Amino acid sequence: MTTPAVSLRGVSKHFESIAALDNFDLTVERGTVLGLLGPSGSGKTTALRAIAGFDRPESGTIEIEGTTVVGDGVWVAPEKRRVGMVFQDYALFPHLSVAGNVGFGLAKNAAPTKIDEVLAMVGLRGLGSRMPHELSGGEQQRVALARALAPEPHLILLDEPFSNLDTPSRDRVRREVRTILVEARATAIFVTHDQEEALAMSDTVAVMRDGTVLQTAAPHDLYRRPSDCWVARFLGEAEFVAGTAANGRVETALGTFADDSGSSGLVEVMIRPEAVRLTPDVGGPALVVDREFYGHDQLITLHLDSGARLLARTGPDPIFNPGDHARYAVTDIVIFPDTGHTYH
Amino acid sequence: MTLATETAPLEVAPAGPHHRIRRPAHPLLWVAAVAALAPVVVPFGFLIGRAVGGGATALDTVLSTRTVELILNTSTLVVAVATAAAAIGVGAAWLTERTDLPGRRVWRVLVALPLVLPSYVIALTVISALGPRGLVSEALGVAMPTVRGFWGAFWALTVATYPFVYLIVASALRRIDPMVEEAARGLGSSQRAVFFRIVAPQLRHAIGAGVLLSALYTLSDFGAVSLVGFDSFTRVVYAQYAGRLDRTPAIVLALVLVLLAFVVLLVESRVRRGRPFIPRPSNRRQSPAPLTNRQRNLSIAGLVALSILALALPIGTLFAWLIRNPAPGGIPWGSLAGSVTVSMLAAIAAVALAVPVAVLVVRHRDGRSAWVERISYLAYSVPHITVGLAMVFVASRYLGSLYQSLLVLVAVYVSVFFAQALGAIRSSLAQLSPSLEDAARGLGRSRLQAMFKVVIPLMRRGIAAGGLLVFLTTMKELPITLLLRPTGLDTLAVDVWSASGDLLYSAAAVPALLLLAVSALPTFVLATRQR
Repeated sequence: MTTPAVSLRGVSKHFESIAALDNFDLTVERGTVLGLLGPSGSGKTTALRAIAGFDRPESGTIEIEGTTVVGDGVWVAPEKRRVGMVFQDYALFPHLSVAGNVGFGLAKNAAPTKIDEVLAMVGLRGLGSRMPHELSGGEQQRVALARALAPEPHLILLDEPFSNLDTPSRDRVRREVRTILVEARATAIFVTHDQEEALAMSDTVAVMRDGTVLQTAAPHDLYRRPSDCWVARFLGEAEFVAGTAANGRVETALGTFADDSGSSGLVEVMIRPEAVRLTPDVGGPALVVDREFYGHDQLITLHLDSGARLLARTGPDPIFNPGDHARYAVTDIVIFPDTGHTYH
Repeated sequence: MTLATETAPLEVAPAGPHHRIRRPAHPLLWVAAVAALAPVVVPFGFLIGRAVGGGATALDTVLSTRTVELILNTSTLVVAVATAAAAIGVGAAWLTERTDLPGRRVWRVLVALPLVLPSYVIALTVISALGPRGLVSEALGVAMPTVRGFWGAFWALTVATYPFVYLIVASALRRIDPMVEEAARGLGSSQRAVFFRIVAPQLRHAIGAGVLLSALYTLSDFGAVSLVGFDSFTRVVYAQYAGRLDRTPAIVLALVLVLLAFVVLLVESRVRRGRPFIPRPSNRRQSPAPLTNRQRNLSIAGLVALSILALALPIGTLFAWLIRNPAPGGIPWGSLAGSVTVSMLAAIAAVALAVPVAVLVVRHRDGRSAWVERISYLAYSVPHITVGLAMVFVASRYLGSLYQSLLVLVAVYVSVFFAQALGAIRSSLAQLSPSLEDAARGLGRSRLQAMFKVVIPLMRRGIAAGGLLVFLTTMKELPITLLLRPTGLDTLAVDVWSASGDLLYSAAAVPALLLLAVSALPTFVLATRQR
């Protein structure tokens, strides 16, 4: 097993009396992109700043490439950590040209060739003499990335890197950044509150809440097998129904399903909209009450005779309209122990 | 964005707890704050101690009918000047910013220009131009009334301070979102109702700030009231100081004066407190309100009269004296050099200290660092005669050979005017994202390198503005200079003051015009940059 690029163990940090990081653990393998996902105020930015050295945790240890930078009485200043950071507002130095920004962290004699090389890597060859305000948002983003990559850091940290871009350029820039990071074989951690972004960009996603990591997994596993109801809901649309489990079966208002989790007693059953198949049927048990059209697909809200609600994702064709009846089949469920929460 | 719906609270930048964190400040930042403010704070403490220790004499002074009379005199003057300054300032701002008055660009400059005139220069020109044997009587052959005492002080200080109100209110008027007014018109309000119900409430803050400056300036003014012979606090404090061996009465009166300044601050903060909204900034241009012919003629007549009284008369009078008796003592090179030297030293020192202190109050904001800012504003509001007297008291007793040295003089200037440098520099620092410093550190630079390579170059406008402001106010400063200047150091302000005190108006004209000339350039730079 190789040394991880970065590992945090038991890191805590309070602001006033609020715990921004509470016994926080995280490990990132070399050459991978980790998405740190959580709602605002969950402590994800504090975690980044602790790794970079801008905030000093009260307890815990942080190692970068096997070297302790925080903990056991050690404190390494941010400028000595070789960690590149891409800030939410990019923080480009407005008084320096693009080349001046990218070369800021480089030794003077090595700078010109390295600057050209890095600018070429981010697709900004020849723009070195521009000033930051002459660039578009996406270009500024790439300069910020180039500046962070140029000194060949152990690790790149990106703080909400796409939140300042508008939706059309956002998806494109996201793909570009992912490509650049992969080509540079960089290890990266990026912070986001957007689950779609985290799932699309990362090799591994860590979901944070109230200063701790709830679950760390590959995007697909995380989405399909969330560790609890909160993570499940945070990752995307889902309906929850109460159920009773016994002998490998779960009974709910939506029907009876097979259960391989071995639960018994009261449980919560999660159904993702894409696990629901609809068939038009005038005598079907589900009534279409709403339809949200997204272009590539649509989300159908259904009411059942039993009073339960169900969400289904279908293709874009206008087959199901409010007032229509349909039959449904559920292809996948996730079962959680009943926590007593009401979800409707 | 199918997945990002109800479960994702939208995060608005800047958010998260890291924006209110308290990172420990470097101890040197605190050293800078203490160095900047101690020359006012420490002597002030001694002064209070002395007044308390003054016992019976102190109590006699406070309770004398003379003191009550002084309080009445001074408060009447302050209220009258502040009211007149508010009326002129708001009216002129409305005319130049919100109406279709012809020549608005020119009026904007003319109305703001008296800002460069120190109150004592205006007073000097008022007393030497008017009166039965003044310049105007001579030129027109008509006996003019003498304007001295209360009305002389009122005139000089109104002219000197209405530009504060004008500049602040005009810039607030430019920033008010016209959409709100249009909405009110759409809801059926008349133009007049819109002004009183929509615009005026939004201006309350700006008017309050302008009136505060006008009132504090009037309270603190020493030169104008002395020249016109109006018994306000400052004049009497100086007379007590100069004429008596026992300094207790002067000190006690100086402290009562400070109390008056705090009353003014308190009143202003009351006005400010009830502010129920945050003005919406807007870049949209306001469409000017059309004036009727009558309104236009009246407005132009008003502005012409203002320009004659506030600009043409003072400057014309100075030139008239100069032509009458061209340079009786030649050009006072020594005083010119003295003024420029002390002002430059004060500006450089103030800026050098204000940069670290701005970092302290902006980047390490907490209860303690907020006090640094508050104390700097208090030091700025304390009447200068009190500050000068306090320093005389401390320096003559404890500082030995430093008493009446250049070092002490400049240190007091820096302390008193520190708020100007700090204000300009802190606002330019506050506009810089803290991630710029973090970015520089993440790229391998130390705190100090990040400061010099990134932060200071980006603050250069604020630094220049702060330095120019301190330079300008130091040039015009009078009472501190009179009390603390080293023997042999002459300044233009002192020249103007002593020559006009001796009724040598021709001799006063040259240094006064030089003072205006030296002040004009930095003022112009500041005024054009502000837009």
